[in-house]
Amino acid sequence: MKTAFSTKNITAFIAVTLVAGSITFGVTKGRSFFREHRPNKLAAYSNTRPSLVLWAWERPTDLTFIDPGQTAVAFLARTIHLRGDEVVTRPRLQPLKLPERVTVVAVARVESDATKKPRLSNEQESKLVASITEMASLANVSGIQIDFDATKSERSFYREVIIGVRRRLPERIGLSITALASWCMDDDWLSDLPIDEAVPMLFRMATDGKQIANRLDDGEDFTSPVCRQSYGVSIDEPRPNLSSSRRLYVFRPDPWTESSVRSIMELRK
Amino acid sequence: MIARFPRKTFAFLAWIGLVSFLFPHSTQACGPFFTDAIFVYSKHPDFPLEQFTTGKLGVVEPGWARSYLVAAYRNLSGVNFNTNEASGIKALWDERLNYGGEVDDSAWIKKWLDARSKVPGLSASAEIRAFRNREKPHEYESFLNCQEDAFNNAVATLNERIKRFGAESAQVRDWIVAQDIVFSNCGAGRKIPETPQPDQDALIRADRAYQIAAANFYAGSFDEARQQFDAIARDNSSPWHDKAPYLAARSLLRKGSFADKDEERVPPLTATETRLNAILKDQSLASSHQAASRLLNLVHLRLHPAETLHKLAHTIIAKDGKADFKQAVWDYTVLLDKFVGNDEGVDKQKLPPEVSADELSDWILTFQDQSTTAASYSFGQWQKTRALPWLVAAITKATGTQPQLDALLSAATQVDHQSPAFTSVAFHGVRLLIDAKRVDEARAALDRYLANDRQNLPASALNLLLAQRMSLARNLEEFLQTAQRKPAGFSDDSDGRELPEEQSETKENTKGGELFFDQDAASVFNKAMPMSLMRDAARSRILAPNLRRDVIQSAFVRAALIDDRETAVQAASLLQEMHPELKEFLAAYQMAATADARRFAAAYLSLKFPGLRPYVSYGIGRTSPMNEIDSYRDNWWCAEPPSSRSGAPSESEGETESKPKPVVPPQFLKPLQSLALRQYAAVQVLGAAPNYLCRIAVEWTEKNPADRRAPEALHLAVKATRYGCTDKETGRWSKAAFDLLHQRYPNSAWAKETKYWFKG
Repeated sequence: MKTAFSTKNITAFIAVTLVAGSITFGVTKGRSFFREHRPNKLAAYSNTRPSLVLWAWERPTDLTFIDPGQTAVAFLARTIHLRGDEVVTRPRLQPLKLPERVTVVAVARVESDATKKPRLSNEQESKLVASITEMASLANVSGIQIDFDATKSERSFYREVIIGVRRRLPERIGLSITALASWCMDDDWLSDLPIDEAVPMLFRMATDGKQIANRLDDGEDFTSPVCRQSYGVSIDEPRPNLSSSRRLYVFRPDPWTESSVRSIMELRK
Repeated sequence: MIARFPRKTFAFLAWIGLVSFLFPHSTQACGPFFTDAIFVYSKHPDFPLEQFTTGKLGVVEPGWARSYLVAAYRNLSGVNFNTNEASGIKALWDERLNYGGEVDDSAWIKKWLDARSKVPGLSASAEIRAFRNREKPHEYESFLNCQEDAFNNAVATLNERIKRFGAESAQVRDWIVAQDIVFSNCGAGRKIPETPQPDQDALIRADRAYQIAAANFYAGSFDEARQQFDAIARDNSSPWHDKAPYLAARSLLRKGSFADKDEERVPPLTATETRLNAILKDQSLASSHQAASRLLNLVHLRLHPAETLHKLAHTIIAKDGKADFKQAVWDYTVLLDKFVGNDEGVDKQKLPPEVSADELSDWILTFQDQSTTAASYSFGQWQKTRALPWLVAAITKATGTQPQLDALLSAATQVDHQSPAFTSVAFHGVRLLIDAKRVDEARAALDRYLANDRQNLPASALNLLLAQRMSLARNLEEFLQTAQRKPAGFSDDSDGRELPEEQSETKENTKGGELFFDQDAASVFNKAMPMSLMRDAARSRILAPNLRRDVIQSAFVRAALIDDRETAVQAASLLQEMHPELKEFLAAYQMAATADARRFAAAYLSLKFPGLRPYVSYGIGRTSPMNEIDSYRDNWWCAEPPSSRSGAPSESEGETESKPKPVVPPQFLKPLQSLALRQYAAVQVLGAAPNYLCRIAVEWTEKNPADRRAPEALHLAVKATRYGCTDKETGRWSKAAFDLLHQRYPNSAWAKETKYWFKG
């Protein structure tokens, strides 16, 4: 009996099967990858860290007075400039003093040169990943935070960097990023990233910052789940209504003092 | 939040595409930042700073960085800068404003690696890092460990050894292997090259001894390094013996610099001082004298800060007092900052008295101290010395109820107009007269200054005087003349340093405009001017065209909002001249027979032209075309008038909402204030534009469903709730307009285009 399947049909069938299989594989792989970094992981990350985190930027800072049980520190550990093909890393040059047992997050501030635009090549990506993950070897660091104001054209590069950093970091080291409030609200490209936390920055915002603040005041929440663990605020700006159950990262333009930390703790009560 | 009622199955995907298209191409977490006008610099004098060094000080501000106050004091004291000093202090400002000049360690390292690559067959060098962590428990800090001279010296030495032994010689290869070990300590760890074999060439053995000492230095083993350099210094056969004493001193300095406690810090620094003085006295070590001299300055800063501070102050204020003026001012201000602290206000009472034990430091610290004690002290010093710096300090701190105010004012009027002090005393003299309610005298003084000295005033100072004169305006004409000002510069102020942009960069934003309103003028227009005067201001030709255009459009919109038909119609005629594209819509307003019809016509016009608003802008204002949606949501109006778009907000602990400053209207407006306030309140009660425009569109459509403008108005009103100011009420109005559009005009193109409503 002559077979009903022509060569053309067989080829088409194989092609469709391959495509369907690839899609299924990709989705499954993606899901399993994302499953590793989804709600349980997010919650676990939240639960292991104090709910108040002070950002310590590039200035002489003495935080030996803080209570490590209640307050963590995210300090600027290095500034990384992307310039042409280069990745230029500058370590922290101003002293930071912390008490024992404090939870420490090392922050990498990444900046793209305005005049010599970065090429965003694979090589540059590798160097940036290496520079960021190196911070995990600093003493007592339990988390890494990337602070990169990636433009739209830089997003896919940044995505690959985040994936690369997560792959190279030990499991015990958390990965956090700062995020534009708009990324968390109406322009969500973060939800499928392998990060433990995206901190919506609710200060020095664009004109639409007031809109976002209004929406938060109105009881609305961020669309992206990774943005629902924490907030980033500055002590010198008014804040919308924030949930006290979320971690609060606080920036202060002036040096941290005992009274300024105390006043934040009072507000959180 | 997007409504959960999509009308089509692919609505969700369409929304994703729409949102991603509409968001700006380039955004920053702390921004984006917008260029705006700066009328009065608060962080530094006007640019270019060269003019500041020549005595064009403007109004000297206590909040400026101390290096500017050094220059101010010199000029006020009558001791002008010579060319070397002027260029030195200018170089200091350039370096500090550009973050101290970038350390180009990658270039140093590359130079070394390029030299190294001339030797064939070597394995690749491990990565070299110039910075090293301090490695202290619970502390995080890095420092520049291997500096440029280390790499330059290595390159020079390698080249010489290649010349002597050949690039492929064992001696050169051994030398490089050892040097690689030296540089491995720059970033971390402690690795020391092997001690030389006795049968190796004497030069290589001498080099090795040097490399071992250097490795210990970079690894932080300072005692070992010092001992080894001392041994090299004693070895006259070593090519390094004349450099070694200096390097031994440097090892001691590093040790002292890294110590935490005084008892660990002072002895090595003292020993360093002794050694460096000895080097400077020894002519056989002349090759190290320049480096030793620089290092000794650093040691003095650390060991004898107060004494060094005063020594530097004395040389800075003396003419031709210091060859390296830039370094002297740099060291002086760093020391003063250390005593006082950079960020908190100065409280001279809390400082050790020896800090202000020289005239320069005394003046700077007093000038920056905002207390009444400092004010009294300044006045006392002026009375005692009659010196110009103290006159400036005294008059800056004085109030209108000051005892002996007239003496101060009289002294101010005697200051020559060419004097560096003139602008400061002129401005503060007027301030004091206003404070003392001697308004006519203040006005007369300002008119003299603006007539005779205007051309010589820096822009910030001119704007300060214009602001004073505006506050004393007797009529609308005087107000308009002084309300419009040329900014001192334009900046996005993204880092809070008020660095001005080049004119070519700002042209696109200013669109050729040269004069703008500062916040004080805009606030008067927006909150303290009744419609009758807004109309007169709109008609007046005093204002620059861009400002007149802004006043006209705000007059029309505001009059339309409160249904002041007469003013609105008059403003409409003027608006039409400026914007012919509005003709059809303005005509509709003018022909509208009822209040409701007028309200709708005005609302429809506003919906079509999102740049219209009832307020005058401060600074550059909105830059998008009037008929286009601004992608940063600067569309229509909010309940409050707009404020500056540039830079970070003013600092204050953010526990409470920042409140708008009260407006102080000029005298001629005071009788009309209750009317102005009623009219302002009438606009405010209408709330943010999107809510209002939705309401008007809905109300009109319900009564006039056949109006062909209605569906478009509803569509645009819903759009306004997406791109304009919103609040808690926005959602309900957006939904109301959306529902009405789809119920009344379900098959219209406008309904099809309106897929969602917005909560705001």
